[in-house]
Amino acid sequence: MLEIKNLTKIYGEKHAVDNLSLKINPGEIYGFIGHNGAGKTTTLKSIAGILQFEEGDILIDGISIKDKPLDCKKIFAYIPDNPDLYDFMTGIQYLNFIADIFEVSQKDREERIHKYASAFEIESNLAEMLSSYSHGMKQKLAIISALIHEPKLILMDEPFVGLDPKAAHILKEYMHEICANGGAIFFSTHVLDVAEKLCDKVAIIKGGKLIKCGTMDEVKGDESLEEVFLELVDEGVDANV
Amino acid sequence: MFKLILKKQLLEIGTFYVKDRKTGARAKGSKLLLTAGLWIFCMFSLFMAGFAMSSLFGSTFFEIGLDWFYFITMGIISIFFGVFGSVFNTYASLYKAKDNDLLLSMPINTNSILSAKIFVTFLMSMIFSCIFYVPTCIYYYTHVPQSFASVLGTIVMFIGVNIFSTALVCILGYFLALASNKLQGKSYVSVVITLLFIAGYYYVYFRINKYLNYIAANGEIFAENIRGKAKLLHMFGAAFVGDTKSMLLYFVVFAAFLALVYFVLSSRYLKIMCTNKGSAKVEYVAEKAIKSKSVSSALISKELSHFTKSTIYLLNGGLGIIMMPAFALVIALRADYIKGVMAGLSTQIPGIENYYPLVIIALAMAISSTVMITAPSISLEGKNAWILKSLPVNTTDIFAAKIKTQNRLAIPAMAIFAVVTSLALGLDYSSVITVAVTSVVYMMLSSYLGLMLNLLFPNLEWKDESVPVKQGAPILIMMFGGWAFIVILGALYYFALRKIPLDPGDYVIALMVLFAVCGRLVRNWINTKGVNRWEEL
Repeated sequence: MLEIKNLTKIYGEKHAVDNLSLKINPGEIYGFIGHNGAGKTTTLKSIAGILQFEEGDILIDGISIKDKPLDCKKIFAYIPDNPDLYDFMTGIQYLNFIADIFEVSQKDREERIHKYASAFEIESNLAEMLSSYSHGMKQKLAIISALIHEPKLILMDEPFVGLDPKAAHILKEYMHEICANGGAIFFSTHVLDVAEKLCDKVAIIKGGKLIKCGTMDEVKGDESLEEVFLELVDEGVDANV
Repeated sequence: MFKLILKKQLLEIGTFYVKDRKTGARAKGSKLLLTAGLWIFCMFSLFMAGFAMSSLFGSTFFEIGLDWFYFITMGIISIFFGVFGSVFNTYASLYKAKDNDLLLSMPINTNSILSAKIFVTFLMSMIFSCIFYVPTCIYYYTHVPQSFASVLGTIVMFIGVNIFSTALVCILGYFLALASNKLQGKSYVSVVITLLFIAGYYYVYFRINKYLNYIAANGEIFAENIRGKAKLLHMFGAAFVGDTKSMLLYFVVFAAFLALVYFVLSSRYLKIMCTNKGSAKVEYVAEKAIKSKSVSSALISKELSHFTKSTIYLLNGGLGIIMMPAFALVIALRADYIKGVMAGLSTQIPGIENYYPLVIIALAMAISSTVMITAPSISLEGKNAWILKSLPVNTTDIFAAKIKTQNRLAIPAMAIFAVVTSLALGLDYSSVITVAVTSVVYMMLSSYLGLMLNLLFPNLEWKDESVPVKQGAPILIMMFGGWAFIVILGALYYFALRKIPLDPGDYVIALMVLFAVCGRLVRNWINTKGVNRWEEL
């Protein structure tokens, strides 16, 4: 579903992402962990086509984001770490806008907006201006807008930040549902407990370099993910891809 | 703490001009040079207007010893400039700044926040009133023998007048913030109020010249009445020319006024800063709210929604759209008077009626320079740029939506202006058509240029919308560059092409072709290099 090949992104002289390679298969929930400034957001933004990168390639469902960005963007949805949305729109106007761009039919969007907005308990707020939404409400709307066109791949940057426990639980259920239907999820998180329980696979990044990845058992063995993570980022182990 | 916040506020203003937003490094020489050039050009143009006004009043009043009356007029104009120049900045930085919450959460006394922000308002007011006050003083110093007291008076009262302007701006900004909170989400009410404000502003603006000329012509009578019946106003003028008692009185009164405003605001500032209570609960009805559109319509709706929901964008970007039909109406109603004035000039410029098409096009171009919807549109994406960048839409479609939004709003207004004005001034039908088409083609060129400039000089890192909408390089270049372009084209015709000879009607057609070719070239740039610029942002 997603293949990152030798991705390198340079800011000035700094390698924000350095020769990173990863493969995410359909049906997988893939966690991406690393400390602040490790290169998680840069990687996710590069996959989402928001940032251009210097070297390597990213294939989504076999299509290169470099060569056919529009075809790739039709397949995935991206949820940023900070849901800056259009404050001059109402919630429903924003969802309509996203649905229009993805050419979701009237019937489908009616069903999906009702399904997701009621699940996240913001349906009654949809006619309000986004400028009046709290951080959590904006995060919920960003998630709904990502789900509205039923993407095969969802890229999420810290998706649980700002969500209340119920919303976080619902999001996890939807993540499983998407993967059960053949989709894939690649998300970054600092919450290692969540990653440990939710992910099929995990990748650890440090200083832009991938230092470990694989199934949860391969990465953590008998230890907890937190212990492994702390050991790896302190020591800087060579990649074990 | 005051110093720290003051430093932050000044840094915020200065960073935009001298630092690269992306890297944080010092901006490239070309950007600095362009910014400096723009500032010099703006300052020079406004200084010249100030000198013209100073000489109008100075030449009349200095000879008859009414230098105090000169300063009453110029002092009031300086206050007007100081207040209207900085009121929206004050509204944005004092009451609506995005860092208000952050500052409030820190162990900082609200009085320090307020006083630092008011001090920056005072500096802004000084800058704006300088535009008028400096030429006023230069003209005064060079035409009237000076004493220590008179020089001191001009300095003390300059500070005093700006203290007064600052107090006024704080009050106006407060009411603007209150109105903005009350009208959140009620865009139509906001639009109507904005339009009324614009109409009122321009009514005063266009009348003021008439009143100033009237004052200049009847200065002695006014001065006599003020001296006899309005002692305080007389003292206001006398303070500028060195009357120590008046100087002291006015400085103390102005300072006390600002202190009072500060006292009232400081007791309510926490409440004022937290006045954003969100919008009222609106009932959601899915059947009515969920509607599908084409991709192109959705993008245009998004642009239109941003334009109409943002008072500051509407006010600064859409003035010309209102002005064009309004001017057309005024010209149609006063056509006979205008023709009479033009006929009076026919002895100096024989066959002046042949130049009507060029005059109309120059007017259309001048007014259209105030239509700036595309010019800040890239910068306005700001932190939301990720949305369009991650969606499956062609960059050219995004640009097309921005251009179409401006064209759809401005082209009908421009066509109305050109057709109505041409008919009112008695142009034949073929001239009406060529003038209208040329004006519309220029409007399209203007839409393309605005977008191109914003792609060349983007600023996605603003904290307040007023920064890209009011202070961005694309805005300044579009407005002042647009006016300079008119002067260049006019001079080109008057000094060169007219002597070939080239008929004014043929020059209109040549302009139409020039605008169309330039438009095509700029559009090509947008769809090639512009796309790359957007993707690099």
